[in-house]
Amino acid sequence: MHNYYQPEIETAPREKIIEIQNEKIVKQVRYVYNNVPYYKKLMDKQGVSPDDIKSIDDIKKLPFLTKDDLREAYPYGLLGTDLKNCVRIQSTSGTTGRRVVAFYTQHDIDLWEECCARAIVAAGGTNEDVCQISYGYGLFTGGPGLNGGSHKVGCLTLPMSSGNTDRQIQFMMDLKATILCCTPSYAAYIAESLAERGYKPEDNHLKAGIFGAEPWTEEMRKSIEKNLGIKAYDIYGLTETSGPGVSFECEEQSGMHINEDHFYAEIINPNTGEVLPDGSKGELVFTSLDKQGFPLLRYRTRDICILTREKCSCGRTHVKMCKPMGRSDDMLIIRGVNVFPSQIETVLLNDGYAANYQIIVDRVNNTDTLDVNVEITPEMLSDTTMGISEREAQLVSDLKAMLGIKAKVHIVEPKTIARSEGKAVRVIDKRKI
Amino acid sequence: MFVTQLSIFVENRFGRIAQLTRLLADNGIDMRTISIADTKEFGIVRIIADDPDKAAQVLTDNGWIFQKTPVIAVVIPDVPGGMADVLDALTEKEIGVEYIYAVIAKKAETACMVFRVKEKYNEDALAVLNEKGYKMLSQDEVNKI
Repeated sequence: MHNYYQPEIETAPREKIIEIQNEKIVKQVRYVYNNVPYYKKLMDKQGVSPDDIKSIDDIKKLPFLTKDDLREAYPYGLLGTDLKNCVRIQSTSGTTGRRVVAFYTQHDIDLWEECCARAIVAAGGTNEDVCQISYGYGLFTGGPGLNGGSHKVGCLTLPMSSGNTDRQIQFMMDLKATILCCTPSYAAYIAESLAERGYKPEDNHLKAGIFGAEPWTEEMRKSIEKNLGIKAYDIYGLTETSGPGVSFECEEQSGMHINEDHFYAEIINPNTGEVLPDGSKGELVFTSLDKQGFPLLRYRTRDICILTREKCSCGRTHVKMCKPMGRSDDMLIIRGVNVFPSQIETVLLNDGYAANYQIIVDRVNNTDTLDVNVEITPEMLSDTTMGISEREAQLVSDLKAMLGIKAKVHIVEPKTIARSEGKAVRVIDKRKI
Repeated sequence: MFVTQLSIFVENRFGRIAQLTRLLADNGIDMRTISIADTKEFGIVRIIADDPDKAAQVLTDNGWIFQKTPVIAVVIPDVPGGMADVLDALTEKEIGVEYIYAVIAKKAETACMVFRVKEKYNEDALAVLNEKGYKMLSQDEVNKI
């Protein structure tokens, strides 16, 4: 049996999907051109006018948007409508300089929540389910997105947010949660915590989990499925496009269907910008087709990915993307939070350290760890250990403020950070993803 | 009168202090005293060397990170209460002590203790100890005791 939230669109024939995209892109480009001076300028510079966009194929004529554009346009430069028409703001992790603030009209919220509802239904969700949402709530899109989707499906929603594992487990067991939504590492942690308390996989009422916001492996999926006794589904999204639900897995678990009636995906060569055919590995680019508050055309995600259009046994006709296979920039995703090495460098320099540092990311017991080694300088030396420990604690706190997650800091001797070809290796990612 | 202490940052790695002391030995530097403050990850090795300038040069040349710290070397009678009297004198003036350690004295009747007070109290500490009649040692004198 197949489950769809909106069968008429999720299983529409390809021609129908293209027809919808053709119609929407013409409108969306005209809308952006008329409402977003920042993007109008980019189009004018490239010599493209809205009249040149007659079908979805013409999309390649449009200029790209990058994270740098988003930063430059912060906060209102890419806003697509009057603030009075917007009802919500969501943002990426509180990171100065790289902050992305997205605006939503009620239409945008509905569209986003519908996408999340499709994901929940694809995972077997109905109005008889109890959906435990253990993604963070707040500026982070995870909690609010799945929360809205769960409401749309009619699930009994448990808005747990993340953390407080004791309470998570109590609610999960007492209120018989059947669907768990959180980051895969938190799911693994909950599974472990259940086992520690003597629960066997069959003791809980869960049947499915929807896990995203960070990279995870097939091995991790298998282990979570076994330890929780569930089927684990992947979900993908980014604040720039709305949040989770841009794409989601069906029961086939062989890639995530992109909600192509709202988001048009392309794969490009990250160096040349050339559009690559289906099946090629390259950078994923998204265009919103019918957003009002924060419509982005050809936004470069920096995620490296492959698109496939083979027929899916689930009956959905929307294109599938694989799990992101890496990044075309140096962004790290740690515990679901986007971290750029440059942010860490900024904090170090502000705190009076030299730019000799090393970032070590690992995954211990299914939880990401972030360690920052920094070389001591004569200026920061003290003759008491307390003096150094105080500076270390200050750095930990400043990093937390910048990144939104805790890093372990190690003050090391000068010239102990490994250098290769004369250049220090800044990031060591030991996670096997 | 202050004595120069070298405060050296040392990572808590096996053999690191051995390397440090061997380096000083190879350069003919005599340590009059050494004290170590340690944490899980690093330590501060505090050394009073017979020739602080030369020791500093050797450390610099070999990439060690250190600081020159002025400390007070006080001669105190090696009897019960000798130490307590010094601390009482400082406490009366509300001068807190950061750390204390001993210099190995070759003569047995007196002890020499190194005191580190908060930098801003350096001069006050000297004044109060002078007033109480304690003898403070110079670098040369530390080398000779």
